[in-house]
Amino acid sequence: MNSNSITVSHLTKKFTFSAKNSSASWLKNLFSPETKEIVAVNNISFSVKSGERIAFIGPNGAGKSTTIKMLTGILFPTLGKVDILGFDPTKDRKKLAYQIGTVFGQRSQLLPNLPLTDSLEFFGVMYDLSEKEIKTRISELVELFDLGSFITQPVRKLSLGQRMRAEVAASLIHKPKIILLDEPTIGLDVVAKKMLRDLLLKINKEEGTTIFLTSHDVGDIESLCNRTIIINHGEIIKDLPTENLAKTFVYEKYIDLVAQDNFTDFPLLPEGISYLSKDINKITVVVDINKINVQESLKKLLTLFKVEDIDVYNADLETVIRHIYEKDSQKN
Amino acid sequence: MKKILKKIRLPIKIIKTQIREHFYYGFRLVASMMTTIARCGILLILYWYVYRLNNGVINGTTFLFAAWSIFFYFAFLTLQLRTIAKLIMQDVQSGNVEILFSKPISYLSYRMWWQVGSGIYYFLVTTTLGVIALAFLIGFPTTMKIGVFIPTLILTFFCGCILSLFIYSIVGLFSFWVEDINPIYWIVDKMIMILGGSFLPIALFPALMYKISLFSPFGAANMVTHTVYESWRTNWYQLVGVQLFWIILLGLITYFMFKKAKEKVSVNGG
Amino acid sequence: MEDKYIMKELKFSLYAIKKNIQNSAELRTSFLMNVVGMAINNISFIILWGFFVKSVGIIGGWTVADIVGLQGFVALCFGIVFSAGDGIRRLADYAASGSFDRFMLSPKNLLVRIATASFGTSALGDMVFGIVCLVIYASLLHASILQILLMVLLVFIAVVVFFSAAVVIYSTTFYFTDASGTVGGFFELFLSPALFHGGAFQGVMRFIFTFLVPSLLIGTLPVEIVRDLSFKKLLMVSVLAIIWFLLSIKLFYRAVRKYESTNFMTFGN
Repeated sequence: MNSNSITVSHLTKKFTFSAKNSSASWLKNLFSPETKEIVAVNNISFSVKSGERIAFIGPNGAGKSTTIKMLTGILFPTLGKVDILGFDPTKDRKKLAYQIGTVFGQRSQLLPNLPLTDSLEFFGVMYDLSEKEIKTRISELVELFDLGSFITQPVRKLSLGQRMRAEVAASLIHKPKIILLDEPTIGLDVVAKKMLRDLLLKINKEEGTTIFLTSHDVGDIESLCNRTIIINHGEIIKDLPTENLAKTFVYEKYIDLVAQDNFTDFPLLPEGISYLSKDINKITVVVDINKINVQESLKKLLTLFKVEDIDVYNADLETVIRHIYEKDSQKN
Repeated sequence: MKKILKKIRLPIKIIKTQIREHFYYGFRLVASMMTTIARCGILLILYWYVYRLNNGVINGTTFLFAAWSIFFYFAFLTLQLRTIAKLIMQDVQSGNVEILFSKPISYLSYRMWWQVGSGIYYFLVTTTLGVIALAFLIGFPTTMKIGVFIPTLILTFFCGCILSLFIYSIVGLFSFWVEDINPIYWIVDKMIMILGGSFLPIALFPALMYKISLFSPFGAANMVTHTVYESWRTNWYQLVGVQLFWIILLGLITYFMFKKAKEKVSVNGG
Repeated sequence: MEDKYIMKELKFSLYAIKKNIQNSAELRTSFLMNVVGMAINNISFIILWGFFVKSVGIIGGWTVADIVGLQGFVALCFGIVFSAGDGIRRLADYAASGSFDRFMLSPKNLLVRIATASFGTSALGDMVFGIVCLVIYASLLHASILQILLMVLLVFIAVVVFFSAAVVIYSTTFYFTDASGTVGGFFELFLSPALFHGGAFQGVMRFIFTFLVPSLLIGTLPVEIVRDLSFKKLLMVSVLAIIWFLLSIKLFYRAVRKYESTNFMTFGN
């Protein structure tokens, strides 16, 4: 039976900071500075079931990292409540820490000067595993993450891909119920990314670990997450299955027209069709199928242009997400 | 009993891991040791010369007492407990504090054990070598031969460690409120240096300065330097009492400051 | 052509220093706290050695006034070198984090680029303190014009020695892993004796800290030169300054070849 592992209710976080007033004197700025308030997260609510794989995305400064830090108990909310596996992170941070694993893409938690085995043992002790459990778990992780070839090397000598695998392995030493990942694939090559994603899918399938991921990489979202929550300006703007996300702009179709010779003229297009890019060799147009259907638009385009080849396709996920960010920014 | 063993398991692991790192980079440790021995040695040679010029006695004490007092100061310094302030500052400034806050540990006690671990091996080796060298070169003062010396030395040493950790942790915790704690660190560190009997052994302190050294937390943090003098025989319990007083007071301040600091955390991120 | 190149390098260095100062001064409160804090920090050495002289008496002809002069010279050297050239003492951190790469890729003189990569705000406090101490020393000494000129010259020479010693010491970064603690210790080995009562250095100790470790060249010997108008010592200090400078450049570029770049990632343990 699935139950909620994460429940967030009306969560809000405000930051205040002193701001220099350029018209005031230096003394006033020192002793009585103006304070400004930023609402980083504004009244968000959502829940996550056990075993789900969530992508928590948004543009830079949207409030993603702030939200994750409130979930882990690093930051205290201004308003609202967080419940993770029955724990309140503000009150039971340490107890909660035994149940969650964290991976921060740009910050390492490993011991840099010692071999990876030392880090894994170290975390095993930190999470109160017995010596036997630590040994067993390390063997499992070495096999699962293919760490054997570099486990005796000092961590600072590892490549980025090796280090990220090691980071994820270390975060799973205690078999957490939830793993929170903040940009885990940043800087990795395509092979390393695929390897990491497959490993995360595997632990989700075999151990039922809930995955909560923030990433700017569309590949992470598409391949790893079955649900996507989009946050912008501190508010949730979309919360839907990832496969439905691609269909958000299903009313838009893209048509590439490859020129037979060269395109010399770019006439005004009928209503519902607009240029996306123009080149003497290739034109890309966007068709709003609410205004004109594909067949009609193709007919009209073929009367305007002499083409060698045509390609009709839907918006890719990256374009969809970008549209969502842009539309939301325009609203604000 | 099980609970106690569980609680000390992580600190022991931290210390073991740090010691292992010292072995891994042995040359680094040797270089640091040589540096400390050299610094202390230079000072002792200077004082040997100064005492010789003054017919062996200054302010009623001989070179023997001054030397051991200075040595104890430098030996205590090798524990590097003061670095905890800068570590906390770096954690806060870089945002690395979030990694430790997401672990099932108390950030501050973890940092304290980490600090103990990073200096303990260095301390043990340097102190052992230093004691052997000094014993061979100048011998022991009479105070160090009395029965109560070793137990009181150990007691005041541990109290000094705890007090140093509290003092420097308080300095470090300021970084949750103030961008740059370096000025605070310098002032506190210099107070400890002056009142702890570093470059100027406490035997050469003027009367007022000696009293301040005895009763301030800065002097109390380095009370080990007092143990070699004749007065320790009769006054040790008073001086340890002063240490305990400051441990309790500064311990409470550390506790409440850390509680407030946790609420103040504001980690960079979007 | 050479002159043009040197002028370009100098121009860029001054520009980098200016930008660093502007960068530091943005955090105005921190800037002032650093300057004042460092000045207070330095006064402790005068207090210590002042009490030393009070308890022990005059050693090697050194009075409390000479202690003030000593602290002045050393603090001023420290302040000049580590304000404009703070990058030198961050060398260990640059190497450990891999951000040394960007210096290697810069089209500017490597040593100058590194030195001017950072501005040491607190070192301004050292400079202010140093100048005040030297002014006080000059007045306590009832210094003649010649002595004042000698002081100015010796500050310049001492800065060259200090800079050279710092470059040699911090270049050892490339021979260790995670070197900042170790190299910091080496630097203390150079700086601490420079702050000690100069009169107490006699015989073998004076030889070692003049010719092998240049600690006395930045404080003790300048004080003695000014006080005693000793031109013999002035010549010796000048020659040693040139030797140290040339040695430091050679050792630095040799050490850089040992640099092993690492992936950038902050470590939080």
